[in-house]
Amino acid sequence: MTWEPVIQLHNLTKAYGQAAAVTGLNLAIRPNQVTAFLGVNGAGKTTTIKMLLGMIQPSNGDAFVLGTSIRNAKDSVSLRRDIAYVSESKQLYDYMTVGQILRFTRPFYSDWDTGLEKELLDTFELPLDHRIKSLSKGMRTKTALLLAFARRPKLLVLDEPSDGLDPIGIEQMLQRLVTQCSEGTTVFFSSHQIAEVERVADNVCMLHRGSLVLDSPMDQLRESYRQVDVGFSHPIDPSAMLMPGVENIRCDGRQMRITVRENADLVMGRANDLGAISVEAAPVGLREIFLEKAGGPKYCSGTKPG
Amino acid sequence: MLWYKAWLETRMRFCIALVLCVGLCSELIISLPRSGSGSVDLVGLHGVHSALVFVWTLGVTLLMMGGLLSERAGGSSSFTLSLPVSRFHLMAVRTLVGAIESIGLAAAPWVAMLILAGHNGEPRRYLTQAGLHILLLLGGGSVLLTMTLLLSTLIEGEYTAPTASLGIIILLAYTFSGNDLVAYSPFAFMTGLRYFNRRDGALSGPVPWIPALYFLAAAACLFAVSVTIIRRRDF
Repeated sequence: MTWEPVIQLHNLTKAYGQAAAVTGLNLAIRPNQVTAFLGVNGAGKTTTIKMLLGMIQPSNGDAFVLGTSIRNAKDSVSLRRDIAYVSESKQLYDYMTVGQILRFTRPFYSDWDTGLEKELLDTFELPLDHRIKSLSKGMRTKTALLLAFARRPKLLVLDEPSDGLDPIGIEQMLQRLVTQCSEGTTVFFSSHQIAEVERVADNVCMLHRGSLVLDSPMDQLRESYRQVDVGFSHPIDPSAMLMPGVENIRCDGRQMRITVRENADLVMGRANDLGAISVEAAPVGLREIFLEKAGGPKYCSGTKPG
Repeated sequence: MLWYKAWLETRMRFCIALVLCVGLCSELIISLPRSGSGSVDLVGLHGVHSALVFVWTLGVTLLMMGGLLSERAGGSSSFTLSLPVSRFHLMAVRTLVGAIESIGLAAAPWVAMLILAGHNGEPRRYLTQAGLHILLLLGGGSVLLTMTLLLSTLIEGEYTAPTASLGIIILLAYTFSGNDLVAYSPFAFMTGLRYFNRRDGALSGPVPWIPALYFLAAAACLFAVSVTIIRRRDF
C-alpha cells in the first residue's frame, strides 16, 4: 500500500447481545477519492459509520480515522473538526431556522467557507428565515448537506445523501461531491442508489450481514466482472463450471448464467471444452453485482464456489 | 455556540414557566390582606413562597426536557454528536443554562412579589427574606434539576422523561414527608418550613448553609452519574 489510508478498520466488530451488527471488518479507504459503501438495509453500514464517528463504541477491533484511533475519546473531539457528517435521518434542530443553524454551526469550524455557504444557499435555494421544522424532506437534506460541504472538511462522511432529493438536487449534490473530492476532500458515502454510485465512486465497498463482501476500485470492477451465458446441447453438471473467480451459477435447463469475478476467458474456455453450443460474455453492472452479493451466492444444486 | 442552542431550545418553555411563576406569585400577593401601611407582611411572603416552590418545580422539569436521548428520538442526535465537542461539554452547557434559567425562575417572582408587597418600612428585612428564600429554593431545587437531568439520560422520548420526572418528584415528596425523613427532604428545604418562624416570618436560627451544601453535593453526584451514563451510551 503506497498511500496512507484516511480510514482504516482493523477487525472492527459491533454486537448487540448475541446479534452481530458488524463482524470483523478490515478495510482501508484511499485518500482524495470517492468511496461508496453499499449494502442492503440492516447490512451494518450506519453502525460502521457511527463507530467511525465515535457515536457507537465498537465491541472489538479498532479503526483509525485520519490517523486517530476511534477508541480515543479525547482525540475524537478534535478529529471531528476535520470530518463532516450527514446522517441518514438528516434531522437537524426543528426549533431553529436555516439562518440560526448556520449561525450555530459556523463557529465550530475555523475552515468554514462563507463564500461557499452563500453559493450553496443560492444553489439549493434555501430560505434563511424558515424553521427547519417547516422544511420539506428534500430541503432538510439540502440544509444538512450545506452544513457539511461549507466546512471544506478533510473527510466527508455521508449516509444516504440523496435521500429525499429530487433529480435536480441529486445532480447538484453529486457535482458538489466530485468538486469537493477534486479539492482534496475524501468522500465516504453509503447509498442505495446504484446509478449515483456508478457515476461518482472511485471505489466500492459492500457489506452484507455485517461482513465485507466487496472492496474494489470501480474501474477494476468494470473491467473484471463478466456475465457469461452458456448453452449446452446436452445436460451438464454445473459443478463442472466451478473454478476460481466464479461467483454464481444459475441454471435454466441447459442454459447457464455464470457471474465471474475474474478469469472470464478461462470460464469461456472451459465451457467450450465441455461442448457448449453458445458462449457469450457481457460486462456486469454494479447493480447486478450488488444483487448477487446482497442476495448471497446462489449456485445450482450440488455446486459450491470454486 | 452551545449556549445559543440551549437558549433557543428552552426559551419558549422558560418564558412560559416565567409567566406562570411571576403571574401566580403576583396574583397571590395581590390577594393577601395588608397591614395598616398597605404592605404584605413577611408571613404572607413566606406563604406565597410555598406556592412558588410548586410552580418552580414544574417549570424546572419543563426546562430540563431535551438532551441527547431526546434528540435521538427526534433524530438530531447524530448532528449534535458530529460536532467537535465532548459529551461532557454538551451536558455541562445544557445543565448550566438550565441552572441559570432556574435562578431566573426563582428570582423574578420574588422581585415581582417585593414590588407588589411593599416593604412596611423595612426594605432590608424584605430583601433578606427574599434572598434567603431564593437560596433555599435553589439549594434544594438543585437536586430536582439534576434528577430531571439524570432521568433525561435514562428515558428516551421528548415527553416521557419529564412525565416520569414529575411522577418521581411526587413520589419523593410523599416519601420524604414523614417525620423521620423530613430533614433530608429537598422539598421541605425549598419551602423553608423548618427555618422560618410561622408567627413573624423571620429566620429562626442561622442560615442553613450546611444542608444547602449537602443538597448541592447530591446534585453534583447526580450530574456526574448523568455524564457517565451519556458518555458510555451508544447513539
